[in-house]
Amino acid sequence: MMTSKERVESVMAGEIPDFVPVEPGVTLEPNFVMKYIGEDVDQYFRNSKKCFMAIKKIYKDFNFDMILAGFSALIYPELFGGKVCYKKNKMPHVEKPVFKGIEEVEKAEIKSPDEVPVFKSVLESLKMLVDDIGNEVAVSGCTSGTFSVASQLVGVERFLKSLRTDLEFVSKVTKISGEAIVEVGKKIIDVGVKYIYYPDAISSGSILSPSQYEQVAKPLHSMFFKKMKEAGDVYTIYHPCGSEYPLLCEIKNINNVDVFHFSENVDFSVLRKIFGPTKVLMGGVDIKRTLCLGNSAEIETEVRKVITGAGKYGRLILAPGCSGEIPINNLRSFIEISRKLGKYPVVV
Amino acid sequence: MLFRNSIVAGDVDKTINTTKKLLTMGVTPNKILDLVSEAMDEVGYRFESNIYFVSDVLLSADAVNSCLEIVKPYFISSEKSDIKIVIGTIQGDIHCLGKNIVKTFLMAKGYSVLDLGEDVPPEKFVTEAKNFGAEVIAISSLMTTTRNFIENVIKIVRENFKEKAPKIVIGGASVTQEFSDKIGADKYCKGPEDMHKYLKLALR
Ligand code: B12
Ligand SMILES: [Zn+2]
Repeated sequence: MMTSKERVESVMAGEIPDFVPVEPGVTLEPNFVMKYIGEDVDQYFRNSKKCFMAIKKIYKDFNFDMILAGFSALIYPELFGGKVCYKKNKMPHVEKPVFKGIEEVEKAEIKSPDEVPVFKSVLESLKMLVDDIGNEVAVSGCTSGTFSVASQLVGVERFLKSLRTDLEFVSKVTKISGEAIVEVGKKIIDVGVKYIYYPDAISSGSILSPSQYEQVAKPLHSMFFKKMKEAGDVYTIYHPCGSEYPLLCEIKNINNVDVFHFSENVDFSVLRKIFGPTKVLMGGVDIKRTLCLGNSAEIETEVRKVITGAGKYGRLILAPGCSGEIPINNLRSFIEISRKLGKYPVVV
Repeated sequence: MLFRNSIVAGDVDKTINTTKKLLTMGVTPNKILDLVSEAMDEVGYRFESNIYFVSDVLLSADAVNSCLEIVKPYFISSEKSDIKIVIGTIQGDIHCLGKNIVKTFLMAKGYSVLDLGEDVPPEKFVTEAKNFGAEVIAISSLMTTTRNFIENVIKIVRENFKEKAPKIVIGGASVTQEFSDKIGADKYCKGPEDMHKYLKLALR
């Protein structure tokens, strides 16, 4: 039997592993992680040891193949001197935009991630994970998407409206956002992480038009993946966060992406045809309905559909269509079912 | 036409100018509101047909708000602004775009809307509804994980209002009519047009 790490590595190498690897998404969700050990959500960002211990415990208790952990767009304002509030039982949030006008953006200075306590803390937890269990499980470090960070810096509505009214502003804000994310990515690589995760909800198909995506978002995403490949020998994972169909032609042509993490909004058998036999696909299981509210029979139906659609010959990582909290029972069922149905050669 | 187009195009300056012009021409605030409502029907249609995207709707929303700022003082006590709504995104959820779009559409239809923001605790929906004298509580939810908070709003409303309880309308990608029935909300609405249709019947 392979270790989790070997399982993911064999998928990346284009070989067929013993089982379809599973990534359950929950370890990226601060609420889930800290609640699991009875701690407050803000500790995810403040206490590297506790964050590490919690994620390790979840991994040991459920036994999946890829751990996804790291940063949220919500905390990036701190890299620019913005004030993020961390309250008990609440996700971090900025009270007011860091930058009001283009002049402020032009003068912006980016702090090094290891000089900012929250970033330092999350980086430390990633390092502890790599050092402690990195030999048995694939550790993936989450950066954040350029549009998502830009929206946190200037306010999401201001940012989206500027896409139509002030492209110069958009270009300046996304430039500094992109630079900050690349810095974070490099630090993640420095602590030994081999899988760089890049999710961008604000450039998803539920928000942007295909032409906005093509002209503004795609070049920024491409730039990020290129920089990551230059910075180290790493695999990159892109998550466009739902409503993918209208953008699919563009998404497919982004270079330097090794894994595409898609939501349940797209049919994995169609994706397999479009992306060809050699691209690694990830995701596919509906978190909003099936994993949060469904029963194990429903989870089984969906897992089967994703495996038969895109994983018969490897190159698949089973995961929720978007990371988030999942009730414990369903999390357990999801992993058990994935093991049951995901044993190679898969029986349809 | 010019006025309507300025809203559809999301042109704030033009909307302000044409609003002022209409008022000086003696067009009544209620008539202006009808035009705003028509313009937002067009915006809604374009959004549903993927001609418009979120950026476009947000710009039209700005245009609507700029017009309403000007005409609001005129119809404070008229029947158009009689119906009051509090709206917010439920506790644990910080998604704001959908909620903000719904808010503006409703304002364009003449409702008085108080926006409670995001991550709103159940108790706050109810106390604010009481203080504001709201006939409707509108809850936005995009995260399945926050469903029990919505249920709590309903419990607290049922405990606190013996009669004339505000209608509870829920919307957003994580909820359905089935869920609405299960928890005893008054209605699930897919979008603002849907909600307007429902309220016209329910509050008659
Ligand atoms: C943009 C986005 C974000 C942005 C939000 C920015 C902001 N300030 O709003 C950011 C990056 C911050 C974000 C964060 C997170 N997100 Co998010 N996000 C999205 C995304 C891609 C689009 C949502 C959106 O704005 N759509 C555009 C608007 C216009 O549409 P809408 O909100 O649906 O609103 C319309 C209707 O639903 C309706 N409506 C909405 N509210 C109401 C209310 C009433 C009363 C009525 C009548 C109608 C109505 O009318 C609106 C207009 O037509 C969705 C995916 C999706 N397809 O929905 C995920 C999604 C909602 N996010 C999700 C998740 C998991 C998260 C995170 C946990 C982290 C993560 N992994 O991304 C965090 C959670 C933070 C928190 N605690 O809330 C999941 C939720 C899954 C679940 N369990 O339910 C989704 C569904 C992604 C997915 N594919 O699974 N996200
Ligand atoms: Zn997502």
